[in-house]
Amino acid sequence: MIDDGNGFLVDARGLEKRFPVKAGFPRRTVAEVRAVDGVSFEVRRGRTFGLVGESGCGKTTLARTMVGLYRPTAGSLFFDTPADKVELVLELRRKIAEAGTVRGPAARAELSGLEERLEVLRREYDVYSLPKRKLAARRREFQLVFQDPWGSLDPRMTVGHIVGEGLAVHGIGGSRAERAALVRDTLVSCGLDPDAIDRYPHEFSGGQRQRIGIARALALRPKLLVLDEPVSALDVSIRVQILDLLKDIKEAYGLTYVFIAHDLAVVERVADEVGVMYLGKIVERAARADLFGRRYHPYTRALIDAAPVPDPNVGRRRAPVRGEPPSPIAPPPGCRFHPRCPEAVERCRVEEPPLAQAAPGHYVACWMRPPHRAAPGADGPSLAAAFGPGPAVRPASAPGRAPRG
Amino acid sequence: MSGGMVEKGRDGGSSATRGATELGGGAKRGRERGMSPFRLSMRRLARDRSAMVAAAIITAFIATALVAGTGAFGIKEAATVFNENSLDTMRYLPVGTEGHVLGTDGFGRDVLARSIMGIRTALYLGYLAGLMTVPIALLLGAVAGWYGGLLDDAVTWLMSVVVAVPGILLIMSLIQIVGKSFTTMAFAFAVTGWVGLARVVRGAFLQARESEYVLAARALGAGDARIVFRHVLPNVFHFVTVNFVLQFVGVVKSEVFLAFVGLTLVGEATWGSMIDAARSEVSSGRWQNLIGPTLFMGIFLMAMTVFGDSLRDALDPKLKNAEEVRS
Amino acid sequence: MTGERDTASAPRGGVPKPGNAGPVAPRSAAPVDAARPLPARPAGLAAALSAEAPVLDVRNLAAWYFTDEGTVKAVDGVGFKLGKGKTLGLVGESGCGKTATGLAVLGLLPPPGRVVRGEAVLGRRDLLRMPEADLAAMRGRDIAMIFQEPMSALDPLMTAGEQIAECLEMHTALDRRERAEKAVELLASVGVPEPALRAKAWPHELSGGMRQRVVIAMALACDPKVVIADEPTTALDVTVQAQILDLIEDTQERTGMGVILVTHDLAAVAQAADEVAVMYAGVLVETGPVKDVYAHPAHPYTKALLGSIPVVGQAARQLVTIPGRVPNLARLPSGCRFADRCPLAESACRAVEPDLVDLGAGRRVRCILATGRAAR
Repeated sequence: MIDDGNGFLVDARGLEKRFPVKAGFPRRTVAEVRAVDGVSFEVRRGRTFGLVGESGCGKTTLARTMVGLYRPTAGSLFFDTPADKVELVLELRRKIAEAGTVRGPAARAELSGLEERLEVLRREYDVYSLPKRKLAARRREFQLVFQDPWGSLDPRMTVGHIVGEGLAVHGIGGSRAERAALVRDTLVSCGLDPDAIDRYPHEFSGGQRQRIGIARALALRPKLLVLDEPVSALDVSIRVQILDLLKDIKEAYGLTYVFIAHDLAVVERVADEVGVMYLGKIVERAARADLFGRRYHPYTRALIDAAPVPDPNVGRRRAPVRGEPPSPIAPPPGCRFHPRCPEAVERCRVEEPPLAQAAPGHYVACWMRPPHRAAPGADGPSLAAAFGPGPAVRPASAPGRAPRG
Repeated sequence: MSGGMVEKGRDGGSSATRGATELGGGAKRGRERGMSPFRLSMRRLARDRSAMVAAAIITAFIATALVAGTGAFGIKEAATVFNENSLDTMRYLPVGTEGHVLGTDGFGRDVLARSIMGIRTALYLGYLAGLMTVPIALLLGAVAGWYGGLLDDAVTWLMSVVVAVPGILLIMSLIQIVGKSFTTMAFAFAVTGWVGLARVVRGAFLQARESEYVLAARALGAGDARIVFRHVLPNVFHFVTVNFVLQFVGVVKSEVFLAFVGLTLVGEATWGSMIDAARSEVSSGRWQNLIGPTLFMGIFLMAMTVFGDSLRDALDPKLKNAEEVRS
Repeated sequence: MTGERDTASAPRGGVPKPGNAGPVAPRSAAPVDAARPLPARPAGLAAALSAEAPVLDVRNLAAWYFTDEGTVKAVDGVGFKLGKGKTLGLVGESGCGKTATGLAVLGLLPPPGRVVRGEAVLGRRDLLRMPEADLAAMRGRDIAMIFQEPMSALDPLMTAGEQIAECLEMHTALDRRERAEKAVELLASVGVPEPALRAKAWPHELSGGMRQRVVIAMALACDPKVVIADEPTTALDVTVQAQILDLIEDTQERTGMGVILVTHDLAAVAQAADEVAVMYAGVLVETGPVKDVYAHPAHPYTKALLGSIPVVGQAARQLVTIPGRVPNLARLPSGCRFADRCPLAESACRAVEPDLVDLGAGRRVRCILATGRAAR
C-alpha cells in the first residue's frame, strides 16, 4: 500500500514512561527510571520508521508502550487517524501553541475551547485514552515482534497454538478448521513448513523461531508491526533471510513498520525514516539519507563511527566517545549527552536542547547544530580526528589518552 | 576465577548438544515430530535406570496393596483375624514359621499380611494429603507470585508463621479435636505442609510474570485468566508432581510418630501402630512387629525418594531450555 | 609431566634481566610461588623475544560431547599458531565450535565434553596433558579467558576489587594490602574512572561496560601470555565495544600477549585481528592473514559470510543469504560439511571431506574447489 499523502498511521506525541523504584517498608517510591522521556514522531502508512539507540535508551520500553503493554505516564499515541482529522489535530496544536503566548481572559477561554476539542479527538483516536473494550478490539491492529526467539515462545505450546493464540483471543475464524487454515497460511507466508503446526519451538533453530514469532504477530493481520531488534539475536547469515522475509511480508500485507535496532547498518537498509534515541529521548530524526549523510548530532556521528567495518584496510578509528550511557534513573542535567560529548560547551551542561528543525524534515537536539549554529561539513571528519578524544568539558577523571596515529 | 567459568561452559556445552536434538532430529530417533517438552522429560526419565527400578518397586507395592484389599490370597483375613483371649500366646519368631514368614503378633495376626495392609494406609494417606495440599499451595503461591505487593507480603508472612509452628504439634492438636480419621489426618498434613510447594509455585509465577512469552501473549490481547491457565500453570505442573511424590515420605514418617503418641487410626493396620506395638515387645525378644513394617517402609520410602528426585531432574526445564549461547 | 620447571622462561614469560633473577628451584605443584613479586614487563618485550616461536600452538584439537543423544563433535580437528603480540580472530556462527575450542584449550570443557585428541602447547608444555593442579596454576597466570557475559563471569557476592585480588592471590605472593593496591591499579589501567571507588562496588552496581572491564582486569591481572577473549564485546553497546577493543589492543602492545578473539563479528575481527580462522561445524575452513582473507576469500562459506554483513554506507548492496542450516554435529554428512549449503558444491564435494590445504603465505583452505583453483 502506498502512503496516501498525509496519512499517518502512527503519531506519537510526548510519550513518557517512568517506572518507580520502590524500596523500604512500607514500599515507597525512592526514585524513577525515566525510560522514555518525551518521545514524538510520526510514521506514514506503508513506511518503515527505524529507531536506533544503545542500551538504556528506552527503545524496548517504547516498543512495548506503543503496543499497549505499558500504559505511558504521559503522552498520546494517535493510531490510524484519518488524514483530515490529522490536519485538524495539527491545526489545533498550532492554534494552542499560539494561544498559549497571548495573555488575557479571552485568550484563555479560546485556549480551553481548543484544548477541549483536542481532547475530544484524543478520546476518539488516542490509543491510551480509549476505553478498555475499544482498546482490546484495536489491539489486533498493532503487534510486536520480540527480540529473543527463545524466550518469547512458550516452550510447552505447539507452534500452531502459539501462532493461533491471537486468533483465539479475538475470536477470529469461525471454526477450529478455519483457524488452523489461517495459521497454516501465515506459517507459509513466513517461510515455514505448514506441518510445523504440530511441533514445538525447541525443535526449531533460532531463525525459524523468529519466523514463528513473526507469524504470530502477522496472524492477526495488523496494520502496524513494531519490531524490537528482530535480528540481533540471530546469526549473521540468518539475519539476511529474516530481513528479506520482513520486506516481503511488508509488501504483501501492506504493513507499516517501526523497526528498532542498535545496528545502524541494518537500520540503514530497512528504514525510510530514522530516529536516534539516547536516554529516553530522540536526539535526531530525519529521512534515512539525510540522517546518514548529514549526521548532525554528535551522538549519531559517534554511533556511525564506532560501528566496525568489515574491511581490514580501513584503519581502526579510536573509540569516538568515552564512557557509557548513564543510568536512566538520574540523567545528567542539561543535554543528556554532554558528559560524553567532545563538543560540549557550558550551555550544554545547563540547558537541555529541544528537538528543533535543522533542515526540512530533519530534526536535531543539539546546541552546537542548526538551527542554533551552523553545521559542520556534510560528511565531516570523524569526531576523534577532528576534535581529539576526550570531552571538552571533562567529567571526573577520565584517563586521557594520546590519539593513535 | 570463579563460578562464572563453569556456567559459561555449561551453556556452551548445552548449545552444542542442543544442536544434536533440535536440528534435523536426534541422533538415535528419526523424527521428533511433536515432541512436547513433557514427552522429552519422560524419555529422559526412562533412561534413568535407578528411577525405573524405583518405579517398578512402587508399582509392585501399589499392585500388592490393591490385590490385598480385595481379599485375595487371604491376606486381609490373615491380617485381621485374631484370637480374643490372649495377648502373648501365639507369637512365633519371624524365621520361616510355617505359614507365617514374619510371624504373628500377640493377637495371632500374620505380620507379613499386616505389613502389606499397611501399604494401603500409607498410600491412601499420602494420596489424600497430596490432594489436599495442592489446592492450598497453588492458590496461595499463585496469588502471592502473580499479584505481588501486599498480597505477596501477606502470604509470605503466613508462610513464615506456619513454618515456625512445629507441624507435628499442630497435627496432634487437630486430630485430638476433630478425631482420628483418614480425612482428618490428611487434612492436618496438608495444612502444615503446604508451604514448601507454595514457595516454589510463587517463584514460578513470579518468573512467569516477567517472561517474554507471557508478555507476547499480552501483546496479542490475552487476558490474565488465559495467561495463567494456558501459559503459567503448565509450567508449574512439574513442581506439583514432584512435590506430590516426595510428600509421601513425610506423611508416612509422621504417621509413625503419631502412632507413638497414640493418635493414629485405630483398627487399621498401619506401619506406625505396628512399630508402636513393637516398642513393648522388643524387650521380650519379639521382633516381628518391628521387622515387618520397617522393612516395607524402608523399601517404599527409598523407592519414592529416588523416583521423586529423578522425576525432578527429568522435568527440570533448565536442562532442556538452556539459554542459547553462540558457540 | 610432573611439574618440571619450564627452564625457557624464568620470571613468568620474561627474559631474565639483570637484577631480576628469579629463583631457579623447580616449580612445585603449589600454585603460589614464594618470594616472587609480579615482575614488571620490560619494554620492547616483543623484540627481545624470538618472533618465530608461537606463544600458543594448537594442533589437531578435537573435543566431543558424549551425550545420550549421540556424540556431538563440537570441535573436530582444529589447529593454529598464535604468535607473540598477535591477535587471531576465531570466527564462526553459533554451533561452529569456537567457544568449545577456547574452553578445551583451557581445560574447562564441561561434561559430557571431553578432549579426544590434539595438543595445545603453551611455552613447551602441553596444556591438554598436564595434571590438573599444574593447569590450574597456569590458568590466570599464563593463559586467561575473558567471557562473553560479564554478569555471569563475576561472582555477585564479591566486590570488583576482591575478585581481581583473588586472581592475584592465587598466582602471586603479594600480601593483602599490595593486592588491593594492584587491583585498583589494574582497574585504572582498564579505563575505569574512580578506580578506588569502583573497586568496592558490587557487580550489580556496575554497568555492562564497566563489568566487562573488570573481567578484563581479572584476566590481565597476572600478565598472561595468552588471552582467549570469547565474544568480549557482544553484550556491549557499540560505543563501548570500540573502547574495549582499544583496551585489549593497548594492553597487547604493552605486554606482548597473544589474543585469540573468539567471535561471530567479522567486522570486529577485521579491525582488531592480524590473522583470521573461520570455523564451520567444528573444523577450520579457512585461515590466513586478515587483509588477505577478507580481500580474497577462498572458501565459499567465508565469501558468503562476508557478503552477508550490512555496512553503513552500502545500503544498496545486495546481501548474500546462506540457505539451509548448520548440520547436526552428531550426524555429520560425509564429505564437506558445508556442501549442503554451498552454491558451488559438486558431487566430489560430498564424497570425501577435504583436508585443510596449505596454500602458502599463511593461507589454508578446506575446499577442493578453492585449492583446485589455487593449484592451477
